[in-house]
Formats: sequence, C-alpha cells, structure tokens
Amino acid sequence: MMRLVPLVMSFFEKRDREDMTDNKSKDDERIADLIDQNLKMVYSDLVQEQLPDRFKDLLDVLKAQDAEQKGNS
Amino acid sequence: MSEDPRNELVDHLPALRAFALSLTRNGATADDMVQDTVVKAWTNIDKFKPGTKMRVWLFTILRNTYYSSRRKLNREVADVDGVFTATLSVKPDHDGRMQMSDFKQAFELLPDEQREALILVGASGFSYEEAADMCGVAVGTVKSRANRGRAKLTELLHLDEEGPMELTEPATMAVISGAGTVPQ
Repeated sequence: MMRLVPLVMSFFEKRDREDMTDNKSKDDERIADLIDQNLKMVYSDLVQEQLPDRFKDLLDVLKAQDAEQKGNS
Repeated sequence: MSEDPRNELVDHLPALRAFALSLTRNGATADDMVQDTVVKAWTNIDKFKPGTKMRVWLFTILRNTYYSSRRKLNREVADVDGVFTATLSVKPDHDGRMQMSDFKQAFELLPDEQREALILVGASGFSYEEAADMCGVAVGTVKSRANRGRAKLTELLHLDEEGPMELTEPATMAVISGAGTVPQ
C-alpha cells in the first residue's frame, strides 16, 4: 500500500503537468488568434482609407507620357 | 491582344498604401513610397511575369524601396509621425477587450522585420511562401519573425497575464464611467 503512494503521486503530478502544458498551448493559441484578429482590423482600416488624389493623377500622367511617346515614334 | 497589366495597378493601390503605412508609420513617407513603387512598376512592367500575382510583385518593389532608403539614410530609428495610430478614432470595446489604440501603439514599437512579417502573413492574407519570396528569406525566417513579433506584442500588452483583457486601471475606468478628471 505504501509503495503505491509515490506512484499515485507521480501520476497526479504528471497529469497536472500535462494539463498545464495543454493550457499553456491553448493560451498561446488564443493569444495568437487575438493578435491576428487585431492585425486584420488595423490593416483593413488602412486599406479602406480614402486614396489620395495624387495616385490617380500620377497614373494619368504616366498614361499620357506613354501616349505621347507612341505618337512621336 | 492581351490587356496591359498596368491597368491592374490601380486595384492594388489601397493595399499597397496600407502596407506602406504599416511599414513606415509615417503618412508622407508612405505616400512617397507608393508613388515610387507605381513609377517603378509602370516603367518596368516588362519584368512582371504574367500569371503571377501582381500584388506580390508590387509589395516586393515597395519593401525594396523602403529598405534601400533606410540603408541610404543609415538610420535604424524611423521617423514615426503617429499617423498609424491616428488613422482611426478609437472604437470603444464594450466587451472589455484590449483597446485598438493600445494595440496600434504596441505594434508601432516592433522592429521593421517583425511588423512586416505580421502584416504580410497575419493580416494581408499572403502565404508564408509568398511572404518569404517577397522578403527574400526562407519560410522559417518569416515564421520566426512573425512569432517573435507576436511574443513581443504579448509582452507589451500583457496578454499572458491573468485577466489581461479587462479594463481595470482606475484611470481607464474613470474615463469609461465618465467620472471626469483622473486624480493625480
């Protein structure tokens, strides 16, 4: 009977340790998900920002330059 | 005759600018980077391989532009003007989760390589392979950069502590409950 005690103890210790590692990795996963959710929110807010006019203007200038070059050659 | 791939450029500008903003954290610099990228892409369109993702190509040009200008300026500390944190009004989180503004501030503190890896794989939907391609490094390197970035955010935002999502600071609570001035 007495010999069983250390065995039982080690069983519980092992189980607790496993539980802890389990919880730890679950926690890590939950934190990583939370971070990625926030990243997506931040990024999609930036994507949805109004695009400054200068980029449309720039593309128009580039197109016009090309057309001019084609006309000259 | 196939369509000029340059017509597709405009569709990628919002994403390209979002990437530039998260990389530079400076509105003026970000827009200059996007402009440079558009001009480079336009004039080097023959180097774009049809059938590949144009967004990957454009992001690659932009990040090369960013890192070469950073090297030229020989500056590790970027000129951050807070445009990133100021882009949005803070949405109150009724379920007591972490505040967006806190998250953005912490995110701005990460090194370029970690911020970049997190944006590419965590937010903009690229695969680890595509991100590795863009950054010119191994897939494992992108993974470890992203993981280090997550670990740093966890530390900065105290996410691994007991009850991390609660707003329990007296100052925050005072603001939320509209209690007025915070005692000094």
